[in-house]
Amino acid sequence: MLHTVIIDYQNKLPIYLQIVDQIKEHVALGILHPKDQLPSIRELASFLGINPNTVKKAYEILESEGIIRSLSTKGCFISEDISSVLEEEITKRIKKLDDEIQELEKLGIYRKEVLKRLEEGK
Amino acid sequence: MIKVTHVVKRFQDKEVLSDVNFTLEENGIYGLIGANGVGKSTLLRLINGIYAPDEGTITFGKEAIFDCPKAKEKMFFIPDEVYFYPNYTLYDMALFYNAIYPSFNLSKLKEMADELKLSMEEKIEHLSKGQKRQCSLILALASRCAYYFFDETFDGIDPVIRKAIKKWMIDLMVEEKTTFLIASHNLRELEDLCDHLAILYNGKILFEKETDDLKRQLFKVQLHFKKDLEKEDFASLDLLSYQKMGSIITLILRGEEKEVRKQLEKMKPDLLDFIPLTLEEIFIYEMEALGYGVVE
Repeated sequence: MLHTVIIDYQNKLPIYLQIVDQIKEHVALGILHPKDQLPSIRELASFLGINPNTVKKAYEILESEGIIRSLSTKGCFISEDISSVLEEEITKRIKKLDDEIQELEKLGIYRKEVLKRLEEGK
Repeated sequence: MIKVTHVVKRFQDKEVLSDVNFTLEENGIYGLIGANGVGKSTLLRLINGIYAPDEGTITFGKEAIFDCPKAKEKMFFIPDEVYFYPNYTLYDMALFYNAIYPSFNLSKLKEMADELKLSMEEKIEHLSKGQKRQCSLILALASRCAYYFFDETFDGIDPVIRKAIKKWMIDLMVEEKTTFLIASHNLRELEDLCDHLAILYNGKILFEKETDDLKRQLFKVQLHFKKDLEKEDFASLDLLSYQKMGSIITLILRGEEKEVRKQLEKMKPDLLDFIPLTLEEIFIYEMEALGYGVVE
């Protein structure tokens, strides 16, 4: 798990949001499973070479959204119910696709045509 | 908590710091940025009670630091020019600091020295400049203080060593809620570590913000419209800079990304691109917004 979080300093997203997004994505993609244990704040901060407060902030957000649960002595775990994460990820990606189609529309190609060509694989 | 309130420092007739206000909370990493000669080192010496302020107060809890040894026991300052007694080995220096800092941990020091392949018995003066800095860093971290002050300390430290040092700093923060203040002229050096950034300019702290907020509140946007728009058309936005090159408009603006995007989309642009700003650019624009622009 540790090695799957990557920080991009050129990215305008604050580091804690990059961590939140990546963990969500990994949950949605099934790289992280319900009940999987997350690295401790110290481990992840050391591994990434970032401020532990940043990791703490990311975990707090994930916890408030119900994606992870923290058991005070044992550490943080992925929640048992992650259906909302999957739904959110799908919505996010459809939105991305839609943005792309809107761009294509600006190039003078109708949505219908785009979808048709996508289906035909061209 | 360490609090710097309305601090003024003069050397002869020259006023180096004119009104510095600053609070260091427990458990954080603060970056102090400023050009060469702006007074960063002076500020660090003041906080550590080496100089007394001409005006204002610097307190640790309720005590003024300048004449409070109890407070100084919890503070460690690494100046830009590190100093070791002549002929001292790392071990000798460790004994010296052990006598000063009640929480000094000798076995921790040996562990760190081992990892950096520094000998405890070799005379420090025989080491390279970078190795001397490494010595001062591990002596500092072994003292297990509550507050650390590093003056350009990572200068000349290679990335591998830097990573090891960072790890020990993180350990201290998790275990002891330690606070670090790192002064540097190099923003990139501070970007990954600091949760707060402050800039020292003209004897004052210009702004002090959480690094994340800084990154989230400023954007560069590129736009193109079918119709011809002028600066006035963007008056409803918090604009820091407006540039028009041909038909492409480039804006630097402040706000919440979602809100800004919504507002701009209403104007029906053909092209709307949000371009990430590096922390360095953010600083330059923030400085300009405050009227401290560099002549172009």
